[in-house]
Amino acid sequence: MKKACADLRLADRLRAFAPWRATIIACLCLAAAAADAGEPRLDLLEPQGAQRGTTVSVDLVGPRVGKSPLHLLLERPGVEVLRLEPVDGNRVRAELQLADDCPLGIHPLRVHTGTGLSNLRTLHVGALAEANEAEPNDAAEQAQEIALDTVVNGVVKAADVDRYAVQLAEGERLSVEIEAMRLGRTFFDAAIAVLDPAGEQIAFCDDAGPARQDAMLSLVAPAAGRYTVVVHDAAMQGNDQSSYRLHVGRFPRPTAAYPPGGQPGEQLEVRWLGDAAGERTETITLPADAGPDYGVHPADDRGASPTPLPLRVVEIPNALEAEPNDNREQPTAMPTIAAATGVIGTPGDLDHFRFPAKKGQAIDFRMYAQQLGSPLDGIVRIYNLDGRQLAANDDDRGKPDSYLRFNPPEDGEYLLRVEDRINQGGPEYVYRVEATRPAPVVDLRLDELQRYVSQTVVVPRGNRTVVMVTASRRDVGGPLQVQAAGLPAGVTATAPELPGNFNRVPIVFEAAPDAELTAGLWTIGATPLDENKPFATRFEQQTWLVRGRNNVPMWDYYADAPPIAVTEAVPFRLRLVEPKAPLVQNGSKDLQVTAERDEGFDGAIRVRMLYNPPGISANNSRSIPQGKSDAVVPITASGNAAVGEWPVVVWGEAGIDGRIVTSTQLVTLRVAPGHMGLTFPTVAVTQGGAGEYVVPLEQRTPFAGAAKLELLGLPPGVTAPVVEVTSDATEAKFPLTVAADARVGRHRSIMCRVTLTEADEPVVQTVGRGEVRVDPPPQPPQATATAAQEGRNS
Amino acid sequence: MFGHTSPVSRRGFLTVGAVGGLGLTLGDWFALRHAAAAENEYVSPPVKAQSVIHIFLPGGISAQESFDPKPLAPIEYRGELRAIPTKIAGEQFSELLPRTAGIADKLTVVRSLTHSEAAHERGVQNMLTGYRPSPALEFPSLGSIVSHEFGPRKNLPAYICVPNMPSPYAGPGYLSAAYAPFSLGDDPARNGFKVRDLNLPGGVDEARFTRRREALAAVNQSFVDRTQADGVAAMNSFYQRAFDLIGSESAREAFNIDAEDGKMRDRYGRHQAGQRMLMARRLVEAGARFVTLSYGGWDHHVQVTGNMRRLMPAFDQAFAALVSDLDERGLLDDTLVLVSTEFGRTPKLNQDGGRDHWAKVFSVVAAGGGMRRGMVVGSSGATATEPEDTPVSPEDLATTVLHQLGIPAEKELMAPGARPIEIVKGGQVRREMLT
Repeated sequence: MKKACADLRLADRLRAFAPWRATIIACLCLAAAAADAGEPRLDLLEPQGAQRGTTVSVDLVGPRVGKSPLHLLLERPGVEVLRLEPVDGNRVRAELQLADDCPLGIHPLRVHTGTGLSNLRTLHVGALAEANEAEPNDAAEQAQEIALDTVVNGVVKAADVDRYAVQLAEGERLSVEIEAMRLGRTFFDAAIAVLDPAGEQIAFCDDAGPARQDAMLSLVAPAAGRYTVVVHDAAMQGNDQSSYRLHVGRFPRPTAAYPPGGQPGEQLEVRWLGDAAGERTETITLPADAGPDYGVHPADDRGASPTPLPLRVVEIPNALEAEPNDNREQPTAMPTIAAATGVIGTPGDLDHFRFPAKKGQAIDFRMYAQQLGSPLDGIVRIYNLDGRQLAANDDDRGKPDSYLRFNPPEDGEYLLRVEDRINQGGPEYVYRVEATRPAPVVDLRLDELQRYVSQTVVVPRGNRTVVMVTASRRDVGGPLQVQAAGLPAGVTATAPELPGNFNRVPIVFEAAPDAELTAGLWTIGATPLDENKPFATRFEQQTWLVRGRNNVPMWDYYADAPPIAVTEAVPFRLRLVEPKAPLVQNGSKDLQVTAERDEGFDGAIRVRMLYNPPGISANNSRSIPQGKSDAVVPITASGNAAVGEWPVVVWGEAGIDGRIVTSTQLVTLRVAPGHMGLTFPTVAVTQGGAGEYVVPLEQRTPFAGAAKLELLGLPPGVTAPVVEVTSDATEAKFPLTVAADARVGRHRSIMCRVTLTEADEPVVQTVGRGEVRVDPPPQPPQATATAAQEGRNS
Repeated sequence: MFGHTSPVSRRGFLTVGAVGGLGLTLGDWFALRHAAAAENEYVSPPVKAQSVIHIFLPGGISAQESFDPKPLAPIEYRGELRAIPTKIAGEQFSELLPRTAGIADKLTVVRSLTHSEAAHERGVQNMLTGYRPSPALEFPSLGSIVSHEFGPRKNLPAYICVPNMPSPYAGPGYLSAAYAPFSLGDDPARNGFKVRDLNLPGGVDEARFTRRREALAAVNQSFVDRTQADGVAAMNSFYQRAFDLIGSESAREAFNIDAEDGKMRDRYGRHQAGQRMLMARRLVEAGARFVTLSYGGWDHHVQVTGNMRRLMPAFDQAFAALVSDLDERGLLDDTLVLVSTEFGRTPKLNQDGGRDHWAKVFSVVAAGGGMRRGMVVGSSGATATEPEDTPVSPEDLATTVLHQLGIPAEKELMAPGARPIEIVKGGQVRREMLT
């Protein structure tokens, strides 16, 4: 689900980093707030929305948000924080001034406290006067009277039905839109209905494309009178968390825009479709630098839609369909690079476009329909002029909007066909298929260290923290450098080069001891280290707001810039001791983590590797115990661990009235092949006897001194001494001593541990596997017969 | 509530008189038939074990984190726990089993159990019945077979589940409902523990109880009169037997965990594992033939290390106490203790630090009842990927357990449709496990 974030030029934020972008208003002077609380969690805003042009008091509620609150981190303009005052540890009261021109819709915010940065929640800004639900309003005669042009804040409790009565004049437009799931609070699938003065239902909506799981509708009153708006859960459920904002007014509520996009700076003539009062055309000047989530709130003299309709702003021309184009004899002509735009206007409608293409010049066709709120479940197909299908796609990456890459087999003309998956159609089945040249792009995202918790950067003064970046390369290869820009003063970021054969890289952030306690958004980008391969970068961060069954995302917020906050110093600093000797394939190593503790803090600190380079695994359940200053993180390498130099980093967390996370610095771990190759024979020995196990050695890397070789996995009762070999030895001979009661049988897990010293550090390699068979001593013929007899009897 | 504890019977909601209130449905009972022994040829083996305590670990416990650690494998295989030596020379258990390691010389560890049912429902069926699941027939659990073959002893139900049936497949399958387990219905670890139906509900005096029982009999009788299905009569007799327990002082005492010395309760541990195993020991001591107890949920797809740290210590304490206690009382030689599960877990840790289902190789542990002491059977190789030698199937395991009880697995029982079916088909008595 895409965020519905409108009128906002996110590109502005992405570019203008030097000035501190996000609105930060420091309101409190904290008297040397000590680190006495861990990460705050923001659960709820009370109220969840307000009218623009007003000043409103909003309580922010959640564990620890009230402990030394410093700022609200707001991502959009128009909201000013006048006061920020803790009520108690879990509640902070903000006095917010919403500008007259404050953008309508969703305003994401976080609470920055002395010790952390909360998760993201959304404040919902409306244009209409606010009112609150007054129970009881369940029965028809209890309907709550509201004025037209009102936002009602209500709750659908268990099996609750809420009714509101409004007076309409004949011919007056009534538009109703509910924000329920989109408040991001809980899985609340709201439905709305409108009853006429006689009590007959004349309009109903459960879900609507642009409103996703929420509902919107508009109607024109057939007669003057008292109309009732009914709100309930679609499955007649509900609970105390099922809150909503119900917009009831005369505002326009179209459900689709056509065409749904244009070029930057273009004067686009947009038709607003689906409004009960009829279609309306408006000329919109598209911004020069709109982001991927640009949208417009349709407005007229009677108001503005509470939520926007998305528009694509891309530097390719629109190719609007010209009906009839139902068959390949009547296609609409389009340039190769253009946005094929149309409407699957009737059930069974097929739209054809004809475009020229050259062999060897691939074209990407990407559909935008459901992403823009259209009900179309589109399929795109490419044909040659003879009608042979050359390419087709239905869904892309689990979403209904299609995508395909077309490689023209020869120079010539081709056909693009658009249809609905189940042959549905209607005036709002708008689509846009963007035909573009494949462009190299790197998609960046921050790995979630906790599942479903979007990662923030919270760096304590005089300390470090770390995030893991995944870089997905599309149509581009080679090494690259990930960069962090727009960081607060006093904060630096370090990221190693990302080699061409890997896609994850850590960024370590470090704050100076006197860095300002501030919060904001930063920019993440990447540049090619091979100058000949330029590419674009994109960043998107999903905040999971409402999840459905099986953790299906129902409502999320997608940000295009990650947040960062500087917090008070914490009473420990972690350091990773740089290993001097390599970790060898099939080897193991102990990474040493040390903690410098401040006086008075002796709590345990959990430590774990941020990530494992390919073929490496680590023990992630280790801690620096209470009162101690170091811990060992064992790591092992498989036989095919990637040889090379890998940046590694360990992060630690301690519970100090909440969770405090810091990290070590980056160190380089060298992964190398084992110094020697071993070959394992099969040897038979006899109980009470002796034997010799000879392991041929293939020396690969010279080493100083002697290597200790130890046989492991010997059968119980069989022992072998540790053998020492030098760098030029060709074999290791292990004398075997076999006890009289050594366990008889085949023992096939014989391994050898090789330990040598490099740079004063042990290098350990454990390889296998060989076999030692223990036989019973040969028995006199008589005894054998008896044993055989016993065997038959048993 | 006796027998079926699955929340909703798949067969329907039509209920049998007052019994319906207890969760039994008519569909269930009509589908049941008396199983009469078919007349094939078999030889009953000598009885080595008088009773069985079956400790079932639902969800599929990781062998790598319990009885079959792989300390020499890379961390992605071996996990994050250490291995410690045991009383069996050269063999190691997980660091979470220190007490069990100390009594390993009394155990038979099978490290090469293998089957091919890596889904919970199917794995449970296979392990509890000795049969792979079939859409045509529900097979009886081992406990119900024992109940069918031997019946009650010393006034105690032959087959008892502590605290409840761990799965619907712990029931009588195609056998009559009379061979369903008697379930305690309450956790012995809970303060104020009372066996359901063994004590009069609060506020119900003797006279009122008798009235209720007569009313139940009257309702049931009308069903028995009107329907000739075996199921109703079977349930009736089953209830009759269960109600009769109330009058039997010795039986009542077996369920009275408070009668156990406080020190003994501490030795087993004042937790679910401890009190359930102590209850199981009391029950077999008093005459129960087959006690199935379940402990924990071992389906650790996420964070297997942390979950094992949470669950294993109680098991370790209780299991080591049970085996030692039985041995000290001279009961271990004729009580077979079996620790089993649904399946094992993947050789490698997954991204979430957990392990997923893996039926190809896993471990079970037995003690007493003629099992060879201090024995490790089979191997799962260097990385617990597949049996390296001596693969043992659930059929083998079931056959071996029944063999120790004196029940020939090849004996045929009569399934619905007059179909003779072997108690367990295709299993072998695994001599490696036996003395």
